[in-house]
Amino acid sequence: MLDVIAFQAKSAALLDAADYDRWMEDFDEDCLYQVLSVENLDLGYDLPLLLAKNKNMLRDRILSLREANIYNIHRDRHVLSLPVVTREGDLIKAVTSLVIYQSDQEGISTLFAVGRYEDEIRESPQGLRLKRRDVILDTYGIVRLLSTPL
Amino acid sequence: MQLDTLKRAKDFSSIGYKVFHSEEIYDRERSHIFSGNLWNYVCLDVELAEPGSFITTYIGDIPVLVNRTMDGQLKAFENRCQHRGTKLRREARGKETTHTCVYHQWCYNLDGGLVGIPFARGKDGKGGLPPEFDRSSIKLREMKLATIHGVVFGSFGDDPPKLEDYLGPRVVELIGNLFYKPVKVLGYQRQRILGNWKLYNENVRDTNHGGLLHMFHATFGLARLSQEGGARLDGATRGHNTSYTTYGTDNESQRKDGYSQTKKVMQETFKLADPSILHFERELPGEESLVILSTFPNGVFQQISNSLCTRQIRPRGVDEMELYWTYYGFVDDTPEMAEHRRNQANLVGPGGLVSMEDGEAVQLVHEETKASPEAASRIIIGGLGEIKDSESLVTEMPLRGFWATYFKAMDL
Ligand code: FES
Ligand SMILES: [Fe+2]
Repeated sequence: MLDVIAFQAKSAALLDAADYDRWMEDFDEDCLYQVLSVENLDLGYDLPLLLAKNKNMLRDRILSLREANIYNIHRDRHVLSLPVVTREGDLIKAVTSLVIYQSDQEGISTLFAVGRYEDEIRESPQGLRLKRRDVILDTYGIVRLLSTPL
Repeated sequence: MQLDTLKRAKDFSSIGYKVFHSEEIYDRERSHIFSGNLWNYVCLDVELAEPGSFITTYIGDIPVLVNRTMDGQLKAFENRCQHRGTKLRREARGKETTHTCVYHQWCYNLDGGLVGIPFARGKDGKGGLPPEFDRSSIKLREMKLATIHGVVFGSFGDDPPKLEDYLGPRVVELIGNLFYKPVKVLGYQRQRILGNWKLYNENVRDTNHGGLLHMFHATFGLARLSQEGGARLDGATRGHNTSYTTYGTDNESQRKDGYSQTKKVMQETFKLADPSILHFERELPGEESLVILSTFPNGVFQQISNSLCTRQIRPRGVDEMELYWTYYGFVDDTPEMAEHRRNQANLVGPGGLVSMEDGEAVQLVHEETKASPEAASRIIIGGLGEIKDSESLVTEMPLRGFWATYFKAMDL
């Protein structure tokens, strides 16, 4: 439980620091990372808002973000709840509430997203690793645009 | 309202910024455009498959309720109770045999007729409705509907033209291509864009920005200005636009020539670690790999590679709009194609690799022009004068078609 809390807290802190290279280190090569709308899930649709079906796609997202995409200049700040942790064999499942604020260049912060992580985590010799992270958004009406990973 | 403060050039090559910020204009749009004699994109027929199914949406900012009657007809109404104006259906979608207002329980059937009022005769003959009240005279305000190839359009106007005439034969044919066999909805995306709805209409008709603002496009070759492509303009005043291009129809010297004036856009050295997202499987009757059809005033129909969707533009006041994306595939999609469409959902939408910039661009224009309502834009790329088709992507001619149609509808 404590190690899962520390693991998720570190991951969020790396995002807030925009240190995406180190953030990606916590994912398996064959990971799944996706941002989903709770509206779609309720309707039985798995359409993603953002999808990486493996770590290479995650790398491509970050490359595109750095080199190709234009988006609002901002800082992210994640606030996480304590996780609800269950174990299935070797797999650790953690469901954690999530709030993200974005702050602009004039120092004004706005609530960007409310939702939850549904993580599937495994233990590796190098520490915990994400096999899968679903970011499920209650805030599925995306204000402005979705750029930096959640 | 002084005409020349809005429309600076007769050929619509310059528009005063006030048009994006005036409450007076916004109110006029509600009556002249969204209640006018023209056709708005409403939804897809398959979203209301069964009798009793309903959805709620917005045409302009007018709340609209669409339902399928028990005998299978689609009907649409202003989503407002005829008693004292409460929103009648609050849910985004559902299935019911009647609609009952939460405030005082007036109940309507799926044809929009008033069928029930509690305590209509009061209690013990006291209170209740006046004797002259005629229940059968009360109906929800109906919106006319017309469907082509399963795409539903609506009009609050008294006398709209035939939908096929309004869109024009090329648009009708293109919709036929984009919906050439039975479709199913794959899901929705919603984006709040902090800008006036007309700025998004300009953006989506601006074929010139595709290969410049959306650098992912250019860098990885989904759409470059150096490729073959162009814009087809339809409708009586050229309010509908089809931007199109075909993957891989340019060469290195054309690319270098065009992009040499920019520092950042084209960097041949970038390679995707997983290029599966760029895969294009030819499937539609048309030749193009990218087609963006925008119909005046609120519809967008898109094929970007194998990502198919519609977008509905929903104004939410002068300063804000919702963009409502409906993704679809075909009923007979293979599991591989279903997975590929899911993958390519990455390309568009609020987080799309080739579309996230639009939300930002619209907001930047909106914020800056607010402070300079007396200034005006330059819509000159692609040439002046007659508003016509373009055989190059380097054009903003379709914006002038939008404005010609807009000012005619607004009677300004
Ligand atoms: S406002 Fe709808 S019943 Fe009164
Ligand atoms: Fe765009």
